[in-house]
Amino acid sequence: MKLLIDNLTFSYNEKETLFDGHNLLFESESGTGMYGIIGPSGTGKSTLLSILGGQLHPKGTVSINGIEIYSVADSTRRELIALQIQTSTSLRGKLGYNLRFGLPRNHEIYSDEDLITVLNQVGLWDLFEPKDGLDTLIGEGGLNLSGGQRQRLNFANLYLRAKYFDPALILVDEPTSSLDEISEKAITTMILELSKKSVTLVVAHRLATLNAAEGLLDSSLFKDSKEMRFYTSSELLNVSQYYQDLQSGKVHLDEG
Amino acid sequence: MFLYLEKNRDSILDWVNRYAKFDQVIEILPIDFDQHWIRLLFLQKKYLFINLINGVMFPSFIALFPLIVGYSVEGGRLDLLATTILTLLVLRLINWWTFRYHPIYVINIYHSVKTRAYEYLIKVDPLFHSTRSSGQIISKINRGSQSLMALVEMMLFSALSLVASSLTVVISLFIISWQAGLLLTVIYAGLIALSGILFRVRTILHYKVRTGSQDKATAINVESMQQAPFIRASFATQEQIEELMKRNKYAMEQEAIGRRWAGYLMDPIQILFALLMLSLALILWNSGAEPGILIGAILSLAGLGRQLFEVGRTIDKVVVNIEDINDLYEFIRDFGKQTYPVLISDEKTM
Repeated sequence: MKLLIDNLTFSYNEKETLFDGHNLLFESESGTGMYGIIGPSGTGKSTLLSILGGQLHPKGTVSINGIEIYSVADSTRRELIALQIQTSTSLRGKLGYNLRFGLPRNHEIYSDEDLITVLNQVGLWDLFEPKDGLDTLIGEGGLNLSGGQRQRLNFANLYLRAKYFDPALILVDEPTSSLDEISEKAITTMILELSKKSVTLVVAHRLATLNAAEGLLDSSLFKDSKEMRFYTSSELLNVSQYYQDLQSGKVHLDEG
Repeated sequence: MFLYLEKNRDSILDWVNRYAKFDQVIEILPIDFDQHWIRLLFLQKKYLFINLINGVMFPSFIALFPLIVGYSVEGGRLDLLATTILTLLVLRLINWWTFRYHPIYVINIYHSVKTRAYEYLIKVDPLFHSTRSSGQIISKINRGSQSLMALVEMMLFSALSLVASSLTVVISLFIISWQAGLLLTVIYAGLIALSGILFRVRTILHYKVRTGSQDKATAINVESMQQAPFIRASFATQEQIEELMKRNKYAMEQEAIGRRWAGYLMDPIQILFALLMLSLALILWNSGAEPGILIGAILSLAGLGRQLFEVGRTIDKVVVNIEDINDLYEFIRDFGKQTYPVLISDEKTM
C-alpha cells in the first residue's frame, strides 16, 4: 500500500493554515498494520483523516496506490478507503438498514446472522434483541441511543464495510471516545483484526488504544516540519516534546 | 438609480416600515391546537370584517353593474347611471385603500400556525422526538400552514366574491324571470353538490397516498442534509441520491395523479354547466324583458359564467386545503400523546 501526500495545503479560514505544502510518503509492503495519529487539539488530526478520506478537498495531491482520491467516484473510493468520522450518528430506519448502509443494496451481502455476530462483538445485541432485533427502529441521528451506543453502531457499520470492500486504507477517528473500558477493548480488538488485512489509521483519545500501533504520526510536529512521517514509539520520544509529555502523564490524549 | 437603491436600501426599508407600521400590525397569534382551526379566522376581527366587506361589496356591485346600466339606459335614467358610476368609483377607492389589510390578515394566520406548531413541538418531551422524522414534521407543518393561507386567500379573493356576485345575479334574474332565477339556482346547487361529492371521493381515495409520499420525500430530503457528513463518509452519496430521487419522483407522480383526477372530474361538470347556461340564456331571451335589461342580464351572466367555471376548481382546492389543515391539527394533537417507547414503523421502504 502506498499513500502519497504531495504539497498539501488546507485551511478552514484565512487566519489559520493547518497544512501548508506538507508532504507524506507512506509505504507498507504487506498493506496491513495499525497506525495512529496523535497530537494536541486543533493541530489537524481529524482534518488530516478527513482529507485522506476524501471528505475535504485540499490543494495538492493525495493518492492511494497511485489513485488520486478526489478523481474517483464513491463506488471506487469505498474500495480504497473505509472511513468512520468522529461524529457518531445514524439514519432514521431499521437497525439492519443502518448496519448495511454504504454497502451495495442490490443484494443481501450479509445475512442476519452475520449482523448479529458483529452486534454481539460490539456489545449491542443485548440492547436490541429484546426490542425488535434487527428491525428495531433507530431514530433520526440515533437520538434514541446513547453516545456510546451510537459510536458502537457506527463502528459496526465501518467493520462490515471494511470486511466487504477490503480497502487499502481504513480510517477511524476517535472510535472509543464515549465507551467504557470493556467496550473499548472490544472495539480495539476489532480494529486490530481489521488491521491484519488493511492499513488502519486511528485517531485515538487514549494511548492504550494505540499500544499495538506500528507507527505514530504526531500532529504537534506539523508546525515545524512540512515532511510528515510515521515514527515508532521510541523514535517519537526523541523528536516530540508532546509525546514525551504524553508518556510521562503530563498531558493526556483526551486533552488533545 | 439601481445603485442608489442598493446603497440606500436600509434607510428606504426603514422609511417603509415606519410608514406602514408593520411592527404594530404583524403579530404571532395565540393558537390552541385542541380547538377547531376555524376559530383562527376570527382572531383578527377587525381585519376579517374589512376583508369581508371588501370581498362582498365590490364584486356584488361589479356583477350588478351591466344590469343597472341596462336599466338606466332603457328607462332614460341618466341620474341613476351617474350615481352608479360614482358608486363604482367610490367602491373601487375603498377597495384599493382596504386591500392593504388583506396581506396582514393572511400573513398573521400563516406564520402564526407555523410558529405555534414549532413552539408546541419544542415543548413536547424529547423522547417523543427520538423516532420521529424531522422531514415529516416539516412537511406537515408547511403543508398545513400553506393550505390555511391558500384557503383564507381563496375565501377572501375568489370564493366570497363568487358567492356574492352569484347571489346578486340570481336575485336579479328572479326579478326578470322566475324560471331563469330558479334554473340558475338549480345549476349552482347542482354544481356545488356534484363538485363537493366528487372531490371528496377523490380525497378519500388518494389524499393519504399523496401526503404520505410528500412526507416521505421531505423526510429523506431533510435527513440527507442533516446527515450529509455521515452519508458522505460512508461513500453512499450516490445510493442516497438515488433513494432521494425515487421518493421525490413518487411524490411528484402522486401530485400529478391528484391533479389529473381533478381535470377528469372537472371536464364533464363544465360541459354540463355550459349546456345549462346556454339554456338559461335562451329562457332569458324568450322572457319578454326589455331589450336593455335583457342585454344587461346576459352580460352579467356572461361575466359570472367565467367565474362559475371555477366553482369546481375552487371546491377541489377547498376540500384539499381543509384536509391539509385537519392533518396538521391532528398531527399536533397526537404528537406527544404516545407512551414511551415509541417505535413507529412507518418507513417500510427502508
